[in-house]
Amino acid sequence: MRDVPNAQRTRRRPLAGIALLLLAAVLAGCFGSRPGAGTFGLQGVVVADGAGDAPIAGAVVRVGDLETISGDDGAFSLPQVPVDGATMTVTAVAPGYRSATVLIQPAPGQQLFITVRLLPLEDGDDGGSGDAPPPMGNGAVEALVRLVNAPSGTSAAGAAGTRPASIGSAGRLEEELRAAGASRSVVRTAAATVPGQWIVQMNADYPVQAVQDMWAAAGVHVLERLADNFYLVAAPEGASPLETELRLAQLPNVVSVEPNRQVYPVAVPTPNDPYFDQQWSLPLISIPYAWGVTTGSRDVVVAVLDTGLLPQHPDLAGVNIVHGRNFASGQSATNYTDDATDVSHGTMVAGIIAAAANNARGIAGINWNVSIMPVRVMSSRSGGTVAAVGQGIRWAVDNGAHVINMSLAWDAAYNDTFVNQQIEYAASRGVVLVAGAGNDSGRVTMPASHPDVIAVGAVDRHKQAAWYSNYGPELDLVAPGGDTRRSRLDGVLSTNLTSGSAVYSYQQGTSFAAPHVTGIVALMYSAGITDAQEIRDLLRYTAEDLGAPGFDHRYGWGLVNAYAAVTRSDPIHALVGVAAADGSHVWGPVHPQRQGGQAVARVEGLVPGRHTVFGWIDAYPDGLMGPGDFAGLAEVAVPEDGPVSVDLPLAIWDTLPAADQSRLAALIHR
Amino acid sequence: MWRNHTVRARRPAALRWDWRLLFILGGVGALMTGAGMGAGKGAGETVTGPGWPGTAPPVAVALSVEPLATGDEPRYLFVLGAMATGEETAVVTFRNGQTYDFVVVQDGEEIWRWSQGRVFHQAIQQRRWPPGELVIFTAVWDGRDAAGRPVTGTVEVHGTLTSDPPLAAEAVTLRLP
Repeated sequence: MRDVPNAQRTRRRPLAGIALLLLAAVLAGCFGSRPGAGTFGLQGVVVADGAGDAPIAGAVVRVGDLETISGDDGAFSLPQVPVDGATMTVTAVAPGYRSATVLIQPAPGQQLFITVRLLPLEDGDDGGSGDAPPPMGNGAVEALVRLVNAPSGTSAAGAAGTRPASIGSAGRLEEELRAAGASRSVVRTAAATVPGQWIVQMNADYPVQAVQDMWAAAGVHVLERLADNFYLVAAPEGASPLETELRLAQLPNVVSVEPNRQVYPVAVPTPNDPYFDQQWSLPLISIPYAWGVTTGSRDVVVAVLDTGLLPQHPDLAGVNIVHGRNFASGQSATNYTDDATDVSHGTMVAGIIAAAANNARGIAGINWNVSIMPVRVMSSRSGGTVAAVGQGIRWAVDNGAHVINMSLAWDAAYNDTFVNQQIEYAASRGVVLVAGAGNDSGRVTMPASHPDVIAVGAVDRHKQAAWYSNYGPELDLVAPGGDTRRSRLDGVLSTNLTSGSAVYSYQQGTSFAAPHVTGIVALMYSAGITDAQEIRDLLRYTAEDLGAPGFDHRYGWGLVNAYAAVTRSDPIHALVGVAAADGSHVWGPVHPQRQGGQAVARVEGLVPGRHTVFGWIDAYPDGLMGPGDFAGLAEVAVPEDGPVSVDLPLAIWDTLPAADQSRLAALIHR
Repeated sequence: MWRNHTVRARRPAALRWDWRLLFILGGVGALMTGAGMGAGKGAGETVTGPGWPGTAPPVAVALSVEPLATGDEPRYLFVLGAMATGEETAVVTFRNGQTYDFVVVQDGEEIWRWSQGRVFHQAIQQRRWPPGELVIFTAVWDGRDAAGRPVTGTVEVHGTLTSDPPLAAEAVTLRLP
């Protein structure tokens, strides 16, 4: 897939068409200005092989996205070529000669000099090229690209356990990260190779012994068959890894060669809060993976319009409380504390968003760092009024809130101009509003049903719509709200008050679904995603589609995906290709297009047969497919004529089976 | 002005006691005895679970309306009483923070609703009714419709425990001056 930007360029060289591979001679030199940071200089000559090295004028020399033409003396120069991977390809094409490809291993600031020798074409020779185009047919694939949350129960440790090779050092790294606790950096190294090991793709599925027999003379040993026509081999080291790769590429029936690389899990911080393992709602929506990107920021202000707060709860101690205010009856304007004696609703909502994390106590809030603005608009004993909610929204906006959570509702048939205007005021100032959809098993209530508010329904721990959750065209997303009918453990766990004592309890309701989305919005802010419309769009398009395909009234756009949201992993950013079953050809890549809110990638010109469609989002943007990215593949039978539709779910790389990881790694680099 | 009171557990905090309140509570109690306990006995079993559809109501409700002499402006006290019907604690589920509602209807049309303009949290909650415990919910109506216009003539007052499923008391007819 040569058009993949910044992708590693360890090319799969179709063996046919390569006339001659030439060694690259490295000469230190200076020609004018030194290459800039991240670039190298390339000079050389193109000569005719077998003709006394006669220079070839007018040869087109390409490397990366740059190209130049050789002069009358055959010389060419590209002074500032961006380094794009450990290995890069130089291609030379000239009329009357077979094209040639040279592999180089540039480093920033380096000056390289190469000599490219081209063989003259013989009669009937079409010249070939370093990239023979795939055969064309009339078939097409329409891939519906969608994201899925991490499977429940997976963790960084679990994902690491599926890795091949070199897991020891990964385990030490993970231990260090766990000891560090609140590490917020995403650690990912995938450049180191496993010495002496290579992933080789062949042109068909062969039994391991047959491959062994084929390559016996070359001293290559097949370690295992990874999947289909991919094999892990051990090869004796040559003068350099490049030389070894070239030698392996020339073995019989080999299609592609890639070094086996060490991989490490994305540093997913696991907080030491003792009840974290009971917070099933957080892994359900990929929160721990999002923590590998950001754990929040005190600069982000979340207004909780609710029954007030109990700031003395031990798991809220240390949370930055700002600008509290009361608009409900029975207390002064500055007294935002909850008047509850049993079940402090506001404290539970705030705990989901912001309970102190990694403090060896209680639960972990979605944001390890954030500022909470408690705005009391309801009494736990006597409820609240729409007028108080409107005042609370206005207060929150005018006092610096970035996002407002409203786990409350009133009948949508009651149209209040005052509160509608405050909602629109907030939206016009870029404040994100989130509200629970309501628990009536009916139509979405207000304020959630207002167009400027993100309406959040509830699912249980099995991603099924909760029995009570409202539905309708106004529903935007679903998030964990719990279902305690069978077990209290299936509720959402958070900070609470019971009989005057601070405790932790399980509850159910869209009241507890909404703060999950609010918490994610706060994480997005801390990750630099601050435009309200972009936030809303990302939440929608990165959600895990549940229920009927695409938007539906029961699940809206789907189950929110925290990691996809904070990494801006919109499915239309995916690269999608189709590989022939024998791996000999790859069509694409293409980007999906938005169709009715769904991301659909159409790859055309396919020959009939069973193929593999695959996709990749470089969520950890380093140009390499691996931990932290979204990826997936699916089998498809392409007809003689016309399109075939296929569902292409993309999951976090770490959660994919090892066999899929190996196949994807090989396919994506073609 | 409205309050939620458990009669046996504690005295109402803000409602003044006078002979009229005692009369009302007594009347509600009598209604509970006739309707609630009778219904429980008629069902032949004690229901202690949540009020899921298909089960006998675990709680019986009754409504009374009493004019209040509070000066020139008319005031009417609505009292909804709820009592467990059996010999064990009744557990009732509410879908949100609202537990009761009062509606005034005239000529078949709703003209006033207590919950209009009110906001409730969206947490599922369960309340327990020990046997024999009467819980009352009260609201005061000012005799005006939702638009604030004085109402005259005859109206029907409806009181409902907004549980899941809802439990509606028998409506009370009120003749306004």
